[in-house]
Amino acid sequence: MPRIEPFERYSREYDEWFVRNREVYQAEVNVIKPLILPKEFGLEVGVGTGRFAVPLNVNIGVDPSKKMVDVAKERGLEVLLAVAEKLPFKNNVFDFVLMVTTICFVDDLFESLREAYRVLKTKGFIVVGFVDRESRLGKQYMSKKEKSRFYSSAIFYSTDDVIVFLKKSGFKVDVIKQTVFFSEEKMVGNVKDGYGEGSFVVIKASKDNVEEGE
Amino acid sequence: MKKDLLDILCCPTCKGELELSVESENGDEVVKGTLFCRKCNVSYPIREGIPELLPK
Repeated sequence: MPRIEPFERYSREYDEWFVRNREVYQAEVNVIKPLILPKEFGLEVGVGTGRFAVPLNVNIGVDPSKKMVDVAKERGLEVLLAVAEKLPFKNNVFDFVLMVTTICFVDDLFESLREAYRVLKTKGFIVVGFVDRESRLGKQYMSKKEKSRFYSSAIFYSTDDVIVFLKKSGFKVDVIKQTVFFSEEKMVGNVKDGYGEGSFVVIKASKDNVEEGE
Repeated sequence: MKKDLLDILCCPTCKGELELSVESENGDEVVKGTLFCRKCNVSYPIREGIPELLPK
């Protein structure tokens, strides 16, 4: 079963994080925004309360937590209860699939990425945003993991891990961006290419199934 | 859920077609109903406009 229990119990606390950490949240939205076009038909897997789907104009969201999708629906999104490993969508439907801070909570990352691959159109792409385990914030989360309501059951990945998983799932990595830097204890939310410095990393990878053709 | 969402939905388990039954609706929004997979013989509820397509 997916790790939904803390999200069911603490949905309000979850949503308040975005208010308390407005600068980090805004930096995360800003790094993703240029990677998707508003007219593209998109699905967010692990939509939560819709904090990313709404500003990023994502059409449909799925999440296994009822409490979370209820809030996302109130925010005007089309939402469904579903798990990442078994998406209830036909093949070749979406222009993009977005997963933001979702990969640390899925039961099976490989199955989740394969499902994203299946529902994407031939020229579709995935955008994965996550806290890099090797980054400052990643290390902080790891050390406080046991005490955290949300992260105690999370599995954190390094950017190298995520690249391997994406390639194994059939994707071709196109773009890697990073944000959430720390300078003299202050968070800086600018965007840079690559990874290794920022705590929040975004990877855009295309379906790239040339051999299947169109 | 909007009725035309059915065009892209499938059973989360077998990926087969789903049959929509509407119990209550509001314009093109299905508020209450079911999505039935004949192959799996499983009925998935739609409650408060949200289809619950968790694998059974």
